[in-house]
Amino acid sequence: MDLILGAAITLSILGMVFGIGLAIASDKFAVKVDPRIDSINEILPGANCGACGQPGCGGFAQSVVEGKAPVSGCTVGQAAVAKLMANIMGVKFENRERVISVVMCHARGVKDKFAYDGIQDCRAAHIVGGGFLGCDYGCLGLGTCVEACKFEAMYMGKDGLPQVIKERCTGCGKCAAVCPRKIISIVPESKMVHVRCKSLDKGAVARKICQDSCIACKQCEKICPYDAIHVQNNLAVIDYNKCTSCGKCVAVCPNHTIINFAREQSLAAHTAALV
Amino acid sequence: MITLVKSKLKTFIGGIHPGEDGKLLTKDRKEALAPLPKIVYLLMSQHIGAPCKPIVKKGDYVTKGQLVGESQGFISANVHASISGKVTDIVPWPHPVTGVKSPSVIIERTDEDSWTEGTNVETDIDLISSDEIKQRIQSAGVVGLGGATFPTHVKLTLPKDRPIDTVVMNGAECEPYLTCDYRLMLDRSREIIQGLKLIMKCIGCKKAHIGIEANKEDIYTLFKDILSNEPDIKVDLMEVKYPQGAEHQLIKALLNREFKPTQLPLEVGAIVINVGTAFVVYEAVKFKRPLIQRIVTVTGNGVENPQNFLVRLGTPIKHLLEEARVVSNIDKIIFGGPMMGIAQGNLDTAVTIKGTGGILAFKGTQQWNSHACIRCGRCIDSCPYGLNPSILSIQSEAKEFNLALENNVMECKECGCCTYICPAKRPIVHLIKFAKAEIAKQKAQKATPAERK
Ligand code: SF4
Ligand code: SF4
Ligand code: SF4
Ligand code: SF4
Repeated sequence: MDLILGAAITLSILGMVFGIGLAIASDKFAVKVDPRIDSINEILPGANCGACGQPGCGGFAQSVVEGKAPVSGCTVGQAAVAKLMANIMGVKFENRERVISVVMCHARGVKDKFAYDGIQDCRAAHIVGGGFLGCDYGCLGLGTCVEACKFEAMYMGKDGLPQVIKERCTGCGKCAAVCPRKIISIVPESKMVHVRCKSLDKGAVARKICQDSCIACKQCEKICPYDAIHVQNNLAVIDYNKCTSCGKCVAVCPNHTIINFAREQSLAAHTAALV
Repeated sequence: MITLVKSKLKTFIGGIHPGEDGKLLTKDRKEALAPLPKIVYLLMSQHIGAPCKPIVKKGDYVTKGQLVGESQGFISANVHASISGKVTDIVPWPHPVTGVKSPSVIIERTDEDSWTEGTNVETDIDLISSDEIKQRIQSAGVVGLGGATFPTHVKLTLPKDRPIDTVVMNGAECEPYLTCDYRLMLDRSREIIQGLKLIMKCIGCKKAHIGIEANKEDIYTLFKDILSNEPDIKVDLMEVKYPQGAEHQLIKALLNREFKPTQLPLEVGAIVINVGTAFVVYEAVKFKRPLIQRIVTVTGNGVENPQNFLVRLGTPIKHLLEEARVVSNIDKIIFGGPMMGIAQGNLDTAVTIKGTGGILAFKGTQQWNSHACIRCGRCIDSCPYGLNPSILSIQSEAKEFNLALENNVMECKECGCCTYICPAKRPIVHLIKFAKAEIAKQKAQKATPAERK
């Protein structure tokens, strides 16, 4: 009998001591979770694409609350999400323009340097002798960017070049990051004029390799009224801060290197109407 | 492959036995002087390390042996004019192995072929100081001719806390088909030994060990003869196995010392030099001759007249192939040996560089379709570095580069044993190179966070 009583008393005392200990500990060492993290998490797209540079949406939410990431940091959610987040965080929201991905290569008539039958991934092909393509800068066309896109906003076109579906593109930049040739640029949606060539070869060389290459003739540079396009290292480069998409350079480019999306679109609409 | 009967010959664990017949094509071909090329393309990046800076201009006249590319920084090696003539241009030119473009000095030959002043003079080297040896090696632009092209003066600059007790000389030439080192050892054995001694003197090392593969017994006897009075320089025969000439395998076989794939032979008190390097060291120190030529084996069933050519650096390989009477229906041109060499895509731009030991032309090569891994484990047995090539290739295929990193993909030396042995014909080395390149990119990105727009 004594034995049982003794055991019961000892156990209850021990229980009480631990209980109090735990109660104090839970109060003292409590991890405070900012409720704002949860609310931000709820409004994020949940794609965990990593385009914000954080480990997934959860990581981004935490960084925003800790002040380590801007409320406009989610490329996918764009303005809508940024506005909501700014509300939660109590900061002012500045509208950022929607950005999309544009493939800056239009390789036409480019011959292969050699037959490549290795791993079907642009990155793997690029490390074999600098790529099999006749042009050292052009698109290899194995579709690694398409594979990388989490939003099914890209596909391989009939001409062997990747195409972007503007409406679906979130501007997350995944495609641009995986492309070993750095062919894809993330640009503001409103910009319509782009130099679709990345070749740094001298004009005479580039012309032989590709029918659509920039030959560094500087015609575009001369005609541009806004000082927005310049030939650097044998390649015309547009300063999107200055470019107004007037399309003057498109008209003078002898090699049809520069493209005007606005014109393409209206042309497409026109042909569609005709059919 | 596990052999139960222990071979008496020295060797290492793993490795493969590729066919030996290839060497027979050129074994008896004494070095032939290839007719001088009309034009040479001197790449400013022929070595591991910083590319050189061209110090000549378009229109300049240069003479053989004149410095045209000045090394930049310590890990870099000078480049000299390999023919006398006029600099016609300096343009970016693709490296025949990496495909990366670097500036290249193009020289068109004018008739005379005499050395520039201050080079090609016989000097007395009996009392030469160790610093002077290193200085002459450096100014001659000597790099490791085994293929790695690491600047030799850097290799000979040793950290103080790592004493070297043995210089290991690699006479294995374990790549099939290549016989350039064999010919050099046969025809220039005394010069090679002199070069070895200069290197020993330069780093103050008393002992040396020469490893020869058992298929070159004539060289073994030759070296034994020459070194009969030199107990400090040992010569040993090693099993004929690929990659017997790689640093880890050579040191394991000769000195029975082991070190990690990521470590240098310094860790175990040794340095490894190739016989070709020893020869050019001798030339550089004794005669002040810059490194402007080397022996290149031009062979394979795609040439009718396989040869060992003494070739000026920057010679277009077309010129050499023509000399060797290349057949019209070649399928593949490989730079280097068949195991580690790189197939060439563009014959018009391929030129020889300091590291080019062989040019192989093949016809009638077979195309293989690769399959999924059948888990036979042969690649694991063959990997001389104890890696699991099967799992590495699968992880790379699945783009799980971080998993491959955990499985030590960075330790792979791209020796090619696994790909050679794989019955499913998987492109293992390519997959591994892919993973390594991606991991390197990730690392670089972490170091400098990408700017976002
Ligand atoms: S844009 Fe880049 S990633 Fe996409 S297919 Fe072309 S080379 Fe490959
Ligand atoms: S006009 Fe066309 S080809 Fe000429 S520099 Fe401009 S983009 Fe290049
Ligand atoms: S290539 Fe790499 S993985 Fe394959 S056997 Fe050689 S070291 Fe091992
Ligand atoms: S040798 Fe080829 S098939 Fe066999 S385990 Fe290795 S990768 Fe797989």
